Amino acid sequence: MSTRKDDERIALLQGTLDLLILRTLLFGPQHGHGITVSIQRQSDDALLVDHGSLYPALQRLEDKGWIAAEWGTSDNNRRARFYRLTKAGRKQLTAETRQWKRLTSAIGRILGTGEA
Amino acid sequence: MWPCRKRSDRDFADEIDDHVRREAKRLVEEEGLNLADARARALKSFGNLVQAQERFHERGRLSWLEDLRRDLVYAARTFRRNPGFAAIAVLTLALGIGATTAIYSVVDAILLRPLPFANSDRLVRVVENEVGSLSGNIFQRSLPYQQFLDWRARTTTLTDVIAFRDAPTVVRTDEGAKRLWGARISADSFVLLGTEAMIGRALGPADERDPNVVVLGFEAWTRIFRSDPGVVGRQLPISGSALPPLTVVGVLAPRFEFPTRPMDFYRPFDPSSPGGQVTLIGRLRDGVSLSAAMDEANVIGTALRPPRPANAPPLPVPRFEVQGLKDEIVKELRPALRVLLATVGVVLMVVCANMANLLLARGTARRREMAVRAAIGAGRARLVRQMLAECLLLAMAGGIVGALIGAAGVAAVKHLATIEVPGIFRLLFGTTILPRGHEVVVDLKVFGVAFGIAAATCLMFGLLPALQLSRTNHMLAMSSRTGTPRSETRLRSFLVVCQMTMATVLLVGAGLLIHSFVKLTTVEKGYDASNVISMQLLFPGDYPMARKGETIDAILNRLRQHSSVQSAGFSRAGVLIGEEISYGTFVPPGRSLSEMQAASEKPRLRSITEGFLPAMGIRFLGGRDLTDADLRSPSPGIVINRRAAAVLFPGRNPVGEVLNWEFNKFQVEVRVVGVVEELRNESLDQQPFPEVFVDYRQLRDIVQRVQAPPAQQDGSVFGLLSFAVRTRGEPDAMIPEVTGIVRSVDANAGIDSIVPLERLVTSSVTRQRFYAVILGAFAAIAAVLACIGVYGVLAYAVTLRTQEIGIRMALGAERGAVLRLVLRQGLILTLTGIGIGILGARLSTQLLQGMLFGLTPFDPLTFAVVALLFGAVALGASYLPARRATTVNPVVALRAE
Repeated sequence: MSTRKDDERIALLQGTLDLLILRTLLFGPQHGHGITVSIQRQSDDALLVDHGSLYPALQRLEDKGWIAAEWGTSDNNRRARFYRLTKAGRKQLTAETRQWKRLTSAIGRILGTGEA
Repeated sequence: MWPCRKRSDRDFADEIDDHVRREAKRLVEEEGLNLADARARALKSFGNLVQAQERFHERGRLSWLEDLRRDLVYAARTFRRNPGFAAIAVLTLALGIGATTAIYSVVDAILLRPLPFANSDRLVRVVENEVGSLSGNIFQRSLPYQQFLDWRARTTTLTDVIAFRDAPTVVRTDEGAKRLWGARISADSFVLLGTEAMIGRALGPADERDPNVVVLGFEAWTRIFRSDPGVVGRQLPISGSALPPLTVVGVLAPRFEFPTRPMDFYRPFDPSSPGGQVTLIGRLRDGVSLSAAMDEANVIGTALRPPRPANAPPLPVPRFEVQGLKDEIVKELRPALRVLLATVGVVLMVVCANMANLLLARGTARRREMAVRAAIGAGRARLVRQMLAECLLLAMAGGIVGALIGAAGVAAVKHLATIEVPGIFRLLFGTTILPRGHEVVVDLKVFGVAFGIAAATCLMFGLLPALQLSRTNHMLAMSSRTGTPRSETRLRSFLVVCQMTMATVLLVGAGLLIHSFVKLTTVEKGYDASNVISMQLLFPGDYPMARKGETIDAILNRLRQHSSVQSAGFSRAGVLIGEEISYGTFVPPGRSLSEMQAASEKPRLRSITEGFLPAMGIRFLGGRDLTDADLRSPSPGIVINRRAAAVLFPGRNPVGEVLNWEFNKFQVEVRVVGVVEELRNESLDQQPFPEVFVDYRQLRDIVQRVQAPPAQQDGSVFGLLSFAVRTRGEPDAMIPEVTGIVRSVDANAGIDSIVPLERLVTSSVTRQRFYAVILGAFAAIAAVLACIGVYGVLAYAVTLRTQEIGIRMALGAERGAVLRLVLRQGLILTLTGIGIGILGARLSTQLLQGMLFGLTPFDPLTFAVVALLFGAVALGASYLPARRATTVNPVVALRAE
């Protein structure tokens, strides 16, 4: 489907991956691969999720208690490790979303393209 | 935060595997790739799988332990690849740790640990100082038992005042006469010292009512009673002595040394017949200072003791002193131990500098390896941990070998301090120069501190390369060797100069002690110790003087008949015993009695027989030895030494001169028949003094005419019953024969000591040898390490400059020029280090004052020789890398990078 070359994609900023993961899980439990695909699709393939750094990020979030994981069975009857948002994760998502919006609007104002 | 649930590697791998499959499936479905390509792309898009797994792995709780294990294994492998570095590093560490442990263990046991008595830091000795009339030295007087009782009643600053007195006695045994070292001691002493018996009981206050009981020293129990566990109630074998029957009531534990050395037996004072002079020990009352006790001692002492004679020379110290018992025991050794402590501290610093230098060099050499490892994904923390593991491994190996060296060092120090001499010399020389030496054990606390210092140095400099890495560009570090910061080279040069400085200070110190030792052992003794047997006899306590004389004469006759005996003679005290007496006053013609009595140097008297002076190899400057005929002459012969000749007959040849030997009630006319060279009688480092040698039979007549007390008569004439036997062959081989002769002449006679005189001379300088050897060893270690440092820095510099040297040679530089280039650098390091070191030595060798014989602490010769020799050796160390620089092949060097 996508024919974009890799270098046109935007590498994720440090820390934004966590936010996107939490946001993706807001719609329900998902396994690692599903999260990747979901992020890329929702950004119209503009964002590049480095598969290699996804799992350490998941692990980090799990350690912090914002997401929880357990092995389950996926749509095609394969076993997969499903991640879901915890209560703490929900709170964190709200806080981070708010912070992100303030950041982008501030940067937007500086660059003169902001949405005010 | 939740408790971290441990996920297995397996679980994680499953998840990744699942991810890759899903991605591959997606690629097949959405982009139409075939399965193999899809799988490859999925894997690729995943990035570094191994790294992801590793990162996962590292967050595990216990993984650090396994990491550590892996790191250690890896470190061990690196060291195996570079065994030279590992060996030098471990050895350096081990030497530092071991030397520090050994010396501090010794010092701790001697200086710091309290004596093994209850509340021992408050124990003091009360002494009365007096100036010796013959030697001019200060000595300590003891006081009569009755005055001890008065003192105890009057003192308010001391509690638990006790008295003791040496009371040796000679007893008959089946193997001839033996000396037992007995002591009289206040009956309550053991209670006050908190000492209990191992078998039976110690003495108690009740024993004063029945004073004929003894408690045995451990060693005497094993020797005299063959460790009989049922010894309580048995009698001490004391036939032939003047003692009443003595019953054993107990045995003390080993190592009871009170106050300074072990005794064979302890016996309470008999209040009904006290007699004899005693030494006072007490305990400071709580809150009383030493100086308050001393003030009081001078009040009590002045009241109790007779006033000093009006003509007595002034005392440079207070007449009565109160001394801490432990201070007194270790007083003599304290300055030397300070020097040792300082020395070993410096050695430890040199070791640390050397470790720093080695690790810095190694770090630089591995910069590229580090960069490569960082580039392929090792985190900085990971690299630090790897370095940490290497340091840990080095420190552990160094610690283990160091502990071994420390243990061996303690044993070596003890051995070096041990004086192996027989009989009376055990008392005179002691059995070790380290008081409380038997208490010395390897001190784990000390080991821990030394290990900590060494390990900290390792860490500090070992981690540097890993820490530096964050500041360097991996690409640059990988591609080039010239990225060494100049600051590091400067740091390493600084370290080497420090090492050279410290080593120079130690070398000068050791040089002074060794030079002093050589001077001492080659000093003109005045006698020739080679091929001489020194023998001291014991006669049973109940032998009359006449019987002693007959036995001496008979033994000498038999000895002189032996074909291997060149000459033999008797003396009341041989050399190295240092027991001097004077008797009456020698008044040469034309001088007055009062004039001679006031003379500053009064001749000392030694009773001998014919043959003693030749047997000792004492050179005759004029005249001849004593003969039997001299005894019967109206003016019996005497022999005087050179110094006595200068005092009695200044500017004249004394041979043949007659002089008066004056006593209170009478005088004897004697004639000088010979003059001998002066000799260092008491010890090698003591100046000779004027001496008069007189036949013991003549002295016996005189003491009998003076009607001196019997014990004094006996002591003056026979003293320690010394014999000198000059043999034609090895003296060792003759010892059994001499022993046999003594036994066959008189089976009651005992041999206190029989030993080649040379061995005694060697033993008499144990202390000086100890200092020279220990300081020498430490200085050598420091010097070797400093040379390794110089070598290391230069070798590294040559490696760094290979290209430069290559270019120089390609442009026509001669080998000599290249050699000079490197040597100059070495010379600068060496000269700076030695120069500062000489200055440092000039400031610190003052500490050795009092340990040196025949030279000052600033002896210019020693300073010069040390500087030259060490400079030459260090330059030798620079020569090796310099020569390697000349073998650089320009073409290879230029192509190398």
